[in-house]
Amino acid sequence: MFLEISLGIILVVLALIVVLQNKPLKAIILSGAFSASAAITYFFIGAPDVAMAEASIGAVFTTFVYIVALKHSGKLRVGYIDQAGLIKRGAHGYEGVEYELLKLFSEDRAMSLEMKKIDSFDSIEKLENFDIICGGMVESTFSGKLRDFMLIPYLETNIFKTKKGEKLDLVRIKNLVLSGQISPQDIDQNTKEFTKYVFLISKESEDVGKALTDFLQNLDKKIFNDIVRRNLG
Amino acid sequence: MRFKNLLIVISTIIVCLVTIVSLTDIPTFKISFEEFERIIEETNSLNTVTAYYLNYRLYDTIFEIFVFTLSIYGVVFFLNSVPSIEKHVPFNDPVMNFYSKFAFIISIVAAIYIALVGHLSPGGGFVAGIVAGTGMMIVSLTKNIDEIKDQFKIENISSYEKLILLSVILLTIFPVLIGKRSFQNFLPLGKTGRILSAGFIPLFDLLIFLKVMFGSWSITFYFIKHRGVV
Repeated sequence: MFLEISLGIILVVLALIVVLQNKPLKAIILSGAFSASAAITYFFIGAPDVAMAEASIGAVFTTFVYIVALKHSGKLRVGYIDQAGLIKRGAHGYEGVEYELLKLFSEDRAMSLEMKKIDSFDSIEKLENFDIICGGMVESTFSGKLRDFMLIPYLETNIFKTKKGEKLDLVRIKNLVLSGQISPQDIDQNTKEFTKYVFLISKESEDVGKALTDFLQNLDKKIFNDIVRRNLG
Repeated sequence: MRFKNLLIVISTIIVCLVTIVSLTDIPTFKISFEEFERIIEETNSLNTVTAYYLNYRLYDTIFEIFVFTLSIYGVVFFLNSVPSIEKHVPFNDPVMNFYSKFAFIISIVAAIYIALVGHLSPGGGFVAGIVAGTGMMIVSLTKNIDEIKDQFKIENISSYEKLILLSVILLTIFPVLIGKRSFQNFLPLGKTGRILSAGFIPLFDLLIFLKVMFGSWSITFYFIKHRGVV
């Protein structure tokens, strides 16, 4: 009697813990534990056949299938180029519009972010190790150049031409002016082009791209505007 | 939020009570000892559960096999639409390499045993198949996809599967040809307690074992091929 009651309590508690997990991997492993205790329960209430099936299917086979299915969605590998206002590692951790959006997205999808800094775009092969690449990427610059990536626009911006002939987006211009690398007089005000900041999604992580597009479309405008105002002013 | 939490607490308490009550208050068996004796006499299977699902309810079991086959085809069909992983990276750990082979042998031996004595003690084809499939899965985690293809001859496996399904269907119809009912045992019952007893029950156990083993292995293979190892 005592055994049955304790097994019953263990089953319910484990089931509750599994349901309340927000990290999929933990939930899968705990559901394996749940299956194991269910198998013990079946054994003690006189159904050894069912116990064997539950132990092999529930605790081992299903766990494996779930873990493999989760492989691509458990961790979000983000490669970024430092760009103050959009994404940058500050004294108190990462900050910026892109980082906050990605953080909200990863929390929404119960994934963890794995951030890695990229220095340049010279070697495209290295970029394939990431799901998402960000750091002030502009739509018009990358169309055609990086065909292996999917572009997900999220914020409108302007492109300005400097007197040296460089085309730079608003946030870059702002950062350069603030750091004193160029003066406001160097910017040609007339060549204003409209474009959008984008997230680059690797073709291998197409599912992440679809999920991110959905997320950005359904994101509350108020929250989005708040993030932009807080980081870009 | 408070209402939601309250709802969670109340439903947990209800589920907890229902689980405990159902676990402590299992209805006592109404089947008399004579009934057990009759089942064993008629089928010669000491495990009366097996006697039920492979003799009296063979019709239901055949449909279970159909459902299982359909689900495997479903998995294979949908995973084939996912591009396969180009760079397949298996686990490359000496300890894992050694123990996976060890686990493979143990699970195959255990599976054959469970399948063969399914009519004498707890076990049967379904469980045995999954145990063997899991063993194959563990060993394939440490191998390259081409190695797996070479060693397990994946193209042949799907034809074996179809052959097994066909033979299961033929075995159920065969009794009609020799003047018995369909789904009726046509093999000698043998001596109670022997492996070769209980008529066609061990034969079906063996066929189901192979079917489930190949089926679960196909699922694993296609998952590894199209999603890669963890």
